[in-house]
Amino acid sequence: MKRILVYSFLIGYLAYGCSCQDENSGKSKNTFDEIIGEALNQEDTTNVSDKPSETIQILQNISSSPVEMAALLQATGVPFNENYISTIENIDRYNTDFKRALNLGILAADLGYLNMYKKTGPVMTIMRGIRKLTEELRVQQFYDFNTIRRLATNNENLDSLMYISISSFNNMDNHLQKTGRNEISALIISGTWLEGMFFATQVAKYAPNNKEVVERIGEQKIIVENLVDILAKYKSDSRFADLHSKFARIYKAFEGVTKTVVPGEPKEVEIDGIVVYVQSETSYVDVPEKTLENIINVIEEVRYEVIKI
Amino acid sequence: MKKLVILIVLGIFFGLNYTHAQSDDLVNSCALNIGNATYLKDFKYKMPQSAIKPPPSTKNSVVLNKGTIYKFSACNADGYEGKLVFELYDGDTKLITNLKPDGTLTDAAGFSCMKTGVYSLNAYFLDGKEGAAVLIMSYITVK
Repeated sequence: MKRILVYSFLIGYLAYGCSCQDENSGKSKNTFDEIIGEALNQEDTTNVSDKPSETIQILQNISSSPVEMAALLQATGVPFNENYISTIENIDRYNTDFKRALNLGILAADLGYLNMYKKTGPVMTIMRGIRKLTEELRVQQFYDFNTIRRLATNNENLDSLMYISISSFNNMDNHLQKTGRNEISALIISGTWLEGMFFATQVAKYAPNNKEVVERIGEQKIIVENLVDILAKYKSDSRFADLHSKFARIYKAFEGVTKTVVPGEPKEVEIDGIVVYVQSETSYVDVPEKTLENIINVIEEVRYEVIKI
Repeated sequence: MKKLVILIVLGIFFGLNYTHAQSDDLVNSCALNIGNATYLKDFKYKMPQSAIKPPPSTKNSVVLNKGTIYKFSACNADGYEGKLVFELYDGDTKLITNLKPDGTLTDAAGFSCMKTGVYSLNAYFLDGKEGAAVLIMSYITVK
């Protein structure tokens, strides 16, 4: 056994050594093939490829929406509220990958919210939950728990903490998509989006005059439509059918949301040393009071059902 | 025989772990240079040399939110001639690109989104040269 370990380390070292040699001798292409290759979606390198589908790409992209949502809340002066964060008290009850993935999404969004408000205290509690769920889902390798713990406990370099949290999530999601675990990815993203919406709707519940937040809620109609489509793909599984009906309920609550686009003049400004193009068209989303109330209620209900699953 | 299988599996495991760490390093180094912006997502590109005109490109759909200023920053891999050109489209309308009219490239370009929706991010390597690159999407907080 000892000999096996020695040989395996040698083989691992050789793999390491070969890569280092390439790196040192002229930044070789092989090295970069390795660097990029593992994480690259090779389907994308074909001529103007539409793969993965637009729906999948939209879903991959919305993983960042809770961060943007939290950034908006913070920018509009909404104070931090610990009550928006989920707890990990139910975590042992998440005994299937279905339950784990949904609630991993919720905890990942909570982590983004905490990072945005630089509230490092509860980060470790949420990370315990994320660690358990990622281990059970066999994707724990994408989170550097030691670094996250060090950054959070020392309250140091919080931008790095934010970066590591988001990039870990993105890498995990890419891996799930590439290894054919699309349904797990869809569940995580559904949970993430739901929690981001929970933050926003809770704010709107008590501050319905926060126009920017209400508008951002209304703008999510396109996202929930895509989520309903993607969940429909897995409806042959009764648990997915149930989740699909929950998200269809959410989508129905958006029925009164309308959007208008007003043309304008584009312009360019310089911000932080780069040229920023300011879009000419501006969209306005109207969310009637009753519609907003319906959205707030249904998000609260579905989120509660998912956590207590 | 059993030992040999274990050896191979463990060797691959260690090798892959190292490769994965490299992948992280590349995105990390690019994300370090986004300045006063918050990382949201990264896109990785690798394309062989191509004589086809226009050069082969990759399209990604991204959801952008009204009121957010996005920054797109490109980092090209050493050892390749190809330099990444990125373009952001709303339908058929090109909104931003890092390719200036004089043919030079900038490392980053910004987009102040006024209309929430699904946009297309198109990327290719200038003149169809072989290249590998990372594009970081982040947002700028204006103080």
